[in-house]
Amino acid sequence: MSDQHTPNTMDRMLDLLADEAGCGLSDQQHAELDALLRESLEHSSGEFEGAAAALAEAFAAETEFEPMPSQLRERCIGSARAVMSEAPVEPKVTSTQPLRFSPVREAPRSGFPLGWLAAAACLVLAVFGWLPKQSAVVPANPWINTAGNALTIRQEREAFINAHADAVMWDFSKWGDEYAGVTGDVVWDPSTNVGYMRFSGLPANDPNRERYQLWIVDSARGTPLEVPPIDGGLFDIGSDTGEWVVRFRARLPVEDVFGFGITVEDPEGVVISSQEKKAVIAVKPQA
Amino acid sequence: MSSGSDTTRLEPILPLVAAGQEGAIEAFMDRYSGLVWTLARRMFSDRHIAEDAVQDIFVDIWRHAARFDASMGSEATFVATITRRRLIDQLRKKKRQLTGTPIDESGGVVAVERTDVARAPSISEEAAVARRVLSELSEDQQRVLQLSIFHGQSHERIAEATGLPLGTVKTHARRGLIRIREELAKTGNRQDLTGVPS
Repeated sequence: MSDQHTPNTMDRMLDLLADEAGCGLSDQQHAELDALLRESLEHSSGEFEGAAAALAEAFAAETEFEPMPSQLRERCIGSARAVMSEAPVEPKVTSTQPLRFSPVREAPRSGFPLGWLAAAACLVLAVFGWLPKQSAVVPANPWINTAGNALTIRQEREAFINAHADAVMWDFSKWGDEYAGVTGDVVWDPSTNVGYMRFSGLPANDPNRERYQLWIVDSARGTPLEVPPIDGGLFDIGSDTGEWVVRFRARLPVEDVFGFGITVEDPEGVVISSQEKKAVIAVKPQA
Repeated sequence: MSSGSDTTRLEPILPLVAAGQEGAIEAFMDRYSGLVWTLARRMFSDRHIAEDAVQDIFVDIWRHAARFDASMGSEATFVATITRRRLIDQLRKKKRQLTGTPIDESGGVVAVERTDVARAPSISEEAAVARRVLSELSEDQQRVLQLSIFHGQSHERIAEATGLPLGTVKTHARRGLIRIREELAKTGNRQDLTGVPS
């Protein structure tokens, strides 16, 4: 065989590949498999995936399919329409624009951190005089980043606001202390699931080390204690000063938006944020 | 294809979904929602977790609908591959959250019943190959593969549930998958190489 493995290490590698196709591997097992695969010319991660999928289908066919709940089916169909209606990456957005929207996934229900509710409650209680359009004053040096394109997206945002009278507009406030100087707002239209965020003073990030991640809290899915926020995607802020705008589209329908939070995460993003690095948050003003 | 008359080569729907054809999404759901939901429910007895996983799965499917290539494998296997990948992701996250506890604490050990290989509805060619290979395996091997692949149980948990030595469980799982993969390769299936998103 061309692999640099003894029979024992070959068996171990195949065991790990089989487990990978069964219930997945722990991080430690992944590392072990990676090390073994580096010595292998014939094997690769995921090589049993197709066989496992065929086998799973065969097993499933032996059972009576439990019908998918109708509400779940409708949500899946709704997500299809949302995905299919997404515009392709717009050429007018340059690489310096913070629009590299790359949604990951909605977090599972369990393990929802309390910080979201605490942050929202603190904001509601403590930020007196908190007005929906607090940052209506345009910074002195807006859209400095990429003049032509930025102006285009600024106009796009303004046109969006004019076209969506029902869109909400909330201000961002600090969530982590080091982001006290950040200003910005979010405008969100629930009918289209599209929104725009503006930031001034949000520090530049190195995309190779960490990225900003948007989280959307939807009250319709349950209280913030019960349901984790929807992952809204990753974005980057460049080193140019001035105001940055991020256009985003929620991957899943948001029926009753409660808030938007920004955390700093690993470059690939996370499913559940540990909230070790909280940046800014915008929540629904209390009546 | 040697699997006989119980296989079906249905016209794929994903290209129509990708093209935005009216009714394609609903047709796709009609065909595959049962498969996806069944696979999810087998791995997760917690309905909420299964629902969340299924939503993620379908978003993945919609996003990659245009990448499906019927010449490389069946649509059902494409769907099952994405489904299992996301379910395993979810399973691993759940395991992380339940560190130190059994992985399927909410559902306990699943019932293990021998697969009746003679009684099966229409399935994809790949699944028919898998079923045929399965029918040639011992009952223990079938049980191991069922618990591992269908129920997402770890080898350690399967050893506990079946009373088989851990080494035997690993050998059964490994050899079973190798055989199915070899048989799939003989039929020209290239599902392992499809552009199923990672």
